[in-house]
Amino acid sequence: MNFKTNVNGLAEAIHYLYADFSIINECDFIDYRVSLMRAGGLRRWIAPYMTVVAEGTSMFSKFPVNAAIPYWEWGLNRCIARFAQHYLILHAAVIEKHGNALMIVGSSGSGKSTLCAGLTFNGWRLLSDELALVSTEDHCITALARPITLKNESLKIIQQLGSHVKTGPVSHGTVKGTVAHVRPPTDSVDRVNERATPGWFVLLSYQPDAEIQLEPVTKAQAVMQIAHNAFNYGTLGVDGFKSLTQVVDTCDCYNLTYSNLDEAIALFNGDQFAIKNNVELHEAI
Amino acid sequence: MPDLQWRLRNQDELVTWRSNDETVVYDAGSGDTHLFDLVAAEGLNSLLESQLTEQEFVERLANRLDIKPDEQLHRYVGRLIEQLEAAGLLETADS
Amino acid sequence: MEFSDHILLQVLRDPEKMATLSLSEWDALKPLARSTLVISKIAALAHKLDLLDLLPEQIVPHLTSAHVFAARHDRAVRWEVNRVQRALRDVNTPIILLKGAAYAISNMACATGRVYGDTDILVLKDRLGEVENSLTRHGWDTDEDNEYDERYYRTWLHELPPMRHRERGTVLDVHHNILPRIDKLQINIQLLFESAIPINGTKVCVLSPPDMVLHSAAHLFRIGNFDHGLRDLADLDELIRQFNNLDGFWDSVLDRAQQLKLTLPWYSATRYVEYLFHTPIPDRVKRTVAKWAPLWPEVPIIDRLVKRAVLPRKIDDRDVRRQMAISLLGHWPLPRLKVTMTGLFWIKRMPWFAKQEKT
Repeated sequence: MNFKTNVNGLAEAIHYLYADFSIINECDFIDYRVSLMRAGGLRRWIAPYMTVVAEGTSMFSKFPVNAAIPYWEWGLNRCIARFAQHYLILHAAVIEKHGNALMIVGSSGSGKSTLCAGLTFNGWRLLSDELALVSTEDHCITALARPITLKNESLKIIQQLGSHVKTGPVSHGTVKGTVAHVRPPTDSVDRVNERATPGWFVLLSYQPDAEIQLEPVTKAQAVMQIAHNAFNYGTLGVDGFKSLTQVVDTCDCYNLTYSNLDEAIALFNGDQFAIKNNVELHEAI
Repeated sequence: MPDLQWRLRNQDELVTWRSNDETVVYDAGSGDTHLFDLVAAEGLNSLLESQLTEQEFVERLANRLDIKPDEQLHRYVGRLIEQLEAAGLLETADS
Repeated sequence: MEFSDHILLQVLRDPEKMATLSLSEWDALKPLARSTLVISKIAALAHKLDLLDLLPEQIVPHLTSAHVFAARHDRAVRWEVNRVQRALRDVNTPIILLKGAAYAISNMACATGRVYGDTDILVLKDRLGEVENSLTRHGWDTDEDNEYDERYYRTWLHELPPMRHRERGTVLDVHHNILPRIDKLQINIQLLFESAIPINGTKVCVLSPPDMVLHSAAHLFRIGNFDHGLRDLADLDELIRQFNNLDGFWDSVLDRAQQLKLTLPWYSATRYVEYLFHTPIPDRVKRTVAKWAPLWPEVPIIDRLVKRAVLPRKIDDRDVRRQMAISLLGHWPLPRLKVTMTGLFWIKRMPWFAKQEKT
């Protein structure tokens, strides 16, 4: 990736959040060129705005100047969702243990990122907090190990996990409220080229004060919900349908309702999610 | 109109996947994905065999499910036809 | 270096050249092809000519992604036409598909690898009310939640405000003419309806070959819509190549251009399509069309604007000069003075009315 910006402080924030990634000084081929720029001229002061452009294509055409870091991350999500259609891209957090991927599917506000972050700092490897990149050839999942985006109350909950949780600058008053990002653990970044075999799908709903409840869901129902929550299931057409049904077929699928993160962490670190298959770890394609 | 012949719009574009008692159908024409329970799946299978009037549909489905073609089944088939037509899976034979 | 020697144009003219490009040439080409919406055309050509194995492995996933994306668009536009046909089955009007939808449904060469935005249809003006009502009953809503925009479309353009389908999210543009009312030039649209070609005996039609190429020319050089200029000129190149061998095609185009008073757009279209894509145009046609050139200094000015508009010079940031060129081309035949005297015309252009994007 190549990144360019004229916004003060953004490069430093990105260096902090992506500290464990390598910087390549020269490269013949760059997969994605992304820039986040503040408008110039008169618009620097009058109704100022910023834009995110990826590969010469607008990702966000106008957004407020106080939200550079969140829009950088959201812009990168859009870039991948738009230009990496050689994967089946599900709207799911993905974490891994013993080579098996746990995919947490849920819409905004379902507690997906909170649960993902909680498990990432309690024994699971982070692949992604938002995008499950599923190979249409062998159905393994490619890791991104990018920072985890947290909003509002989730941010406080995850910071309480300990001082080893490093968060970047906080942005207030964005369209999604207060947003900040958690640096991915070094181990997750070091292992970014290790892919994972699908193991479980968890369809998430967050309910305040609810008792934790994990219930099996039929694979057909899971297909319908996951398809609804995929970025490019429709784009892939028949191949998307075949890939998704084949992936779901190999997984155990559940509905999960929770309100307490510690209870959820205990559940996923229990016997039910210890190991699913004996798997070989696959290198990224 | 009871004598209308109903048929699947393009059964070559349908891809199905069965898991236990449920069937998921992908329509490559519309790009839509549909979940069919056991009874609706038998309805779909009835239509895969040939185009049917509503009455014929009721009788064939009753036969497949080994039940009597009663008033409840008539209403069910009426609703199913409406849903399938709105979803673009079904059309009249003169379309 | 001559502008038309640009690597992207070379690849579009001669796809086999892809196999000779280095990794860094692909690195430069990829974002340009993406931003001008021709990467999926390049991907389609790579598949068709079986070149993928000859290309650097790093570019292959990007071309695959673009190929998948275009296939989806093709399916979606065909389905959209199916749904529109269903929605309008009881309205007594032919439905002429325009631009991309027409290319897809007629399986034209230029449909391969094309990405589509809105679906454009042309209907009889006096059926517009019925059309709108039927579409609304079948799930479409007017997209403009700004009252000014809605009035602007209905009063001064040649279409209903864009209609978005509630479930599919797709956008349908319903036109009753091919040029806006704000244009001084008014086309006798009845002529287009009379020559339209039905698809499979239904009321869904496409324009006749001369009208199709003239419409493409008018879209670029009368309406002046250069947002996707390179792709639209590439389409026109392929349309001309496809129709080139039809008996009487060129004479029909020349006659029709004069009949519809689209001689100047046709002059411009042939000039630039030949320059960029080396489209084969018979000499006798070029001699006739040359007489339709505008007076100096318009031609060198438009030359510069078109070159600026079709290819971005900057990828990382807004190419302001390109945007200006696109904007100038869009206003070249100026709207009628009385339109610019209305508040509607200016309110629509105020940046404060622009919507913020959702994440």
